[in-house]
Amino acid sequence: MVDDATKSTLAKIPLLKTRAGPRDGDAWILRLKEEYAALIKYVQNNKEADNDWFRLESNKDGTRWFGKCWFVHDLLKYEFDVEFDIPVTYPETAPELALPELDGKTAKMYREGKICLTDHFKPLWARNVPRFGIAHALALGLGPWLAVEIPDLVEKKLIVYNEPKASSSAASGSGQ
Amino acid sequence: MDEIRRLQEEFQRAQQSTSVSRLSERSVVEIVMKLTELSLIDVLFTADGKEYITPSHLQKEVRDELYVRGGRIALVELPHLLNVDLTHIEARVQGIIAAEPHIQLVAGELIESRYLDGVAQEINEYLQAIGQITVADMCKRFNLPVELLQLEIERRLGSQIHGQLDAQDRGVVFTQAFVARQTAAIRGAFTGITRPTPVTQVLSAYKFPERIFYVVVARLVETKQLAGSLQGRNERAVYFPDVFSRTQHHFAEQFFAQNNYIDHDTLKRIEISDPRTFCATQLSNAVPLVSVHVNQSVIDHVNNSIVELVETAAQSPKDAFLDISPLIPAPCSVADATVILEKCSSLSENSDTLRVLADTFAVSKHFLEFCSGLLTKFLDGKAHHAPSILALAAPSTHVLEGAEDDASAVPATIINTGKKAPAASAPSAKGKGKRGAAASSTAGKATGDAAAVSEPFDEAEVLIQLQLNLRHCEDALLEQVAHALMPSLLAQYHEFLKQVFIVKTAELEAQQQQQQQQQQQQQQHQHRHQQQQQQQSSSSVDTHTPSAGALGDFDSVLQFTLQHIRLFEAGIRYFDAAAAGILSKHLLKTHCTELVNLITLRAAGKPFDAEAAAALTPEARAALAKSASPAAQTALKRLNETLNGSSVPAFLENIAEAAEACEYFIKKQDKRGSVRRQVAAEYLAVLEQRLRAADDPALVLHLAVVILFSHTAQALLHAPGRAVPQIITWLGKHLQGMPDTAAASVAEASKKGDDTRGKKRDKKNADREEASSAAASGSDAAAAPPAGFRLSKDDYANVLAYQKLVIDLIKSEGSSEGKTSAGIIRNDLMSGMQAIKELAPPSSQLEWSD
Repeated sequence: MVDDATKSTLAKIPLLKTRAGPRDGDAWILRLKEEYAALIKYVQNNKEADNDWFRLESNKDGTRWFGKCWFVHDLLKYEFDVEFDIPVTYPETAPELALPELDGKTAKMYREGKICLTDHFKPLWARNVPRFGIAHALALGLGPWLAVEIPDLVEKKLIVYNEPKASSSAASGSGQ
Repeated sequence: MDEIRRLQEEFQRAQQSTSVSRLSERSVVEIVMKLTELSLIDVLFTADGKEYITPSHLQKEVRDELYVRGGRIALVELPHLLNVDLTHIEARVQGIIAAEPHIQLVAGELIESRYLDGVAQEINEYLQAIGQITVADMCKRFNLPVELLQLEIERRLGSQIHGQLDAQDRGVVFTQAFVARQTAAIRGAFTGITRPTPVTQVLSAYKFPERIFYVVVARLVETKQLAGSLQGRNERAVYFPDVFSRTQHHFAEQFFAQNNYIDHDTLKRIEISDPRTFCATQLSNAVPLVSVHVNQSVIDHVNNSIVELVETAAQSPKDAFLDISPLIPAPCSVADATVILEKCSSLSENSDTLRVLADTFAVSKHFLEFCSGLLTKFLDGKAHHAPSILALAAPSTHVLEGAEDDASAVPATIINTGKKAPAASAPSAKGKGKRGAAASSTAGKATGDAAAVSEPFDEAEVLIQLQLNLRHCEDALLEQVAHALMPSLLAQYHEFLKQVFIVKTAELEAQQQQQQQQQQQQQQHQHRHQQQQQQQSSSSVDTHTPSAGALGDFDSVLQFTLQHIRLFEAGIRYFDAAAAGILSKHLLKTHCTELVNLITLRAAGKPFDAEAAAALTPEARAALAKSASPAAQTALKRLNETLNGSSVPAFLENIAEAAEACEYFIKKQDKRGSVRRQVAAEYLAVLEQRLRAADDPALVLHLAVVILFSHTAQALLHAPGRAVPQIITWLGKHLQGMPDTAAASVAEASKKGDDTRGKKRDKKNADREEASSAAASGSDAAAAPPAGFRLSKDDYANVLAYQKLVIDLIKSEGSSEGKTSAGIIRNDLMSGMQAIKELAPPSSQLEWSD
């Protein structure tokens, strides 16, 4: 169901405690703090493991999240925009991660570029409400999806490598 | 919300921070390989492959390791220590050595000069402690190669290492103190040596360091610090201390000075290896011989003795030899003696008169002549008994007796010899006929041949004769003398044979004549005549014996005859005036007359001729005397006068006086009487021989009486037949067991015996053989009884037995009639003599008391 590497990564992300959605007022604040703490930890972990693969930021109240994610294949860095909203039923319902650039290019995607997660994801998430948060959803959903789909899409020439723009925030890890 | 905002910022910050770049191990290995491939970097793998190291860092690590290890490290240890492959290390080490001259690679080890300094310091400490080190030992100790250490030590000598290298062996270092110490020890050891010692012996005894030992010893000897000398080099050197050499020389010089010689064995015993050189250089006056050196004085002494010998040889021929063996040092060998004699100048100067016999004897020719004289009798006896003489005499007798048919025997001999007869030099004694001459020449020839075929006598016999007569001489000398004399003796012998044959022939002839005269003449007269003839013939034999045959020497005949006359004169003194008168006259008529004849002939300048002298009548003599010088004439005249007198002493006196006028030399009577004794003995031997050969009873009696007188009175007698009764009378007085009556009857009997003699002629030949066969035993007996007035008991018994025998003989002669032949009498005599021979020791010799 979930590979070992993902499992160990997942295990290093701190679990959440507060069961609250964006409509729960202060509870959501508490929940959002926990979300951030988990994300910071996850990013730190990724940096340490030289596996930094996304940039993410949210709106003021933390209901809408957006940013970029990338994948290195054949020494080429493919970068995509990523966005998602916190559902009202959160944390019972997992957020729907979307890569709008790749809408219509792959079968494993819903409308509006929402990625199609594996069958295992939903039960796993459901079993871990309210312990799983946004960091977990990224590690458990988007990471594996990118590792599977991008090489396939590159091979199918559905996506091509774009020279990094001078303005791009290319903090390339392998540029030594 | 602030808190949210803060968290948002924090999250952004976390995302903005650069991530740590991580390379996998595999990637890094690949990257490095790539870089190496591109020659962008130069790295070395460690042994386990997990690390990279740059060469310069490896070099540094090697240096550090070397430093930690005190400046010396083996390359093989480095891979383990640095975890780098040896090949990389070796490559780096080359770089180190090239860059840093004070580091070197020696036998797989890196060595810094710092380390070598330490080694040198250690070596120096060690050297100072024990004084001497060898590089080899040090190499072993520091486990360094010899070449390196040798080089380093040499470089540091004088600065870090305080010592010096051995000049001969560069592998040795020693300190001056050590050398001084050893030198002192060696000097001490050698100072104590007193006899030649191989230096190796000292070396092994004191365990000196061999390297400096020989050098030090040589230097010490050279600088005279050791009183001695070295012979040989290094291992074979022998040290001769001066004290030993001095003792040696001292001994040799002392020995030489004391003994006048030094033999080489002695020198070798005192360890002088080359005695000849030693003597030549160290001893003055040393003369080298074969095995000894003698002082020159020894040779001078011998030389002087020889000179003395030459001077005195003529006076005493009997002792005219010199045995140099007592004069030279005892260790001299025969060869040495020969060398000494060779060095005597006197010997070579007198080589004509001196000979070297038996190696050590210098012998004068006078001595040889003397010996030859001694042997005359022996030769004579040999000649008489030579078988060839008898063999020849028999047929010749037959011839003379008229048995013509036997004459063929003589020509047969001549034919057998097959040579022409030599010139018949043997002149006949008295009027012999043609047959006699033929017979004599035959005899001479035959005997000569017989002698040539087999020697009639050998050296051994001659030697025995010489030994009997010359007791004072050594056998070795006599042997050589005998050897030297052999040729001349043989010649002399042959001459004797000739003479004897002539005499025998003459005798036979004379007897034949007598037989013819017998019928015409009176018995008495005939008897006397025959006696006289016998005497003459005997004297003729005598005069010929010593030298007439060999030399025909006037002097020797003169001396010989004179000697006889003197002896006879001594015999005459025993008789009273009447008998003495008869005897003196007889002597004057016979020997003395002959002597005067000889002198006259000589004075007249005639050649020497014994026969002619014997036949000279008084008238002829007087005639001859006139041709002599006036001085000689008067001397001869006076001599003639004394001949007519009856005083033998007067004659002797005259003859001595006449000597000067007539130019001859008369030997003085020898004081010791040795010559006289000898002459007397010879004369007696002749008489006894004649006695054995005689058949005629009168002759037998005559001879027996004369012999008996000689033995009794110790004086010779030359008596005519008519004096026999007087002698018997004298004997009767002086001998026991002879009664006067017997003596008287003997006198009677002798006359009668003469009557019967004629009848016995027939028996003669048969008897003669018998006589010769018995001769050997008889001759011994004749010499046996040493009679004299000083007699031992045994001797006296012998004399008595002898006397008895003669008396018996006389008696039997007296009673002999018809068949009682002289032969039987003689046989009795022989058996009697045999008895005497058994009684008396055969070796006893005649002793004449003068």
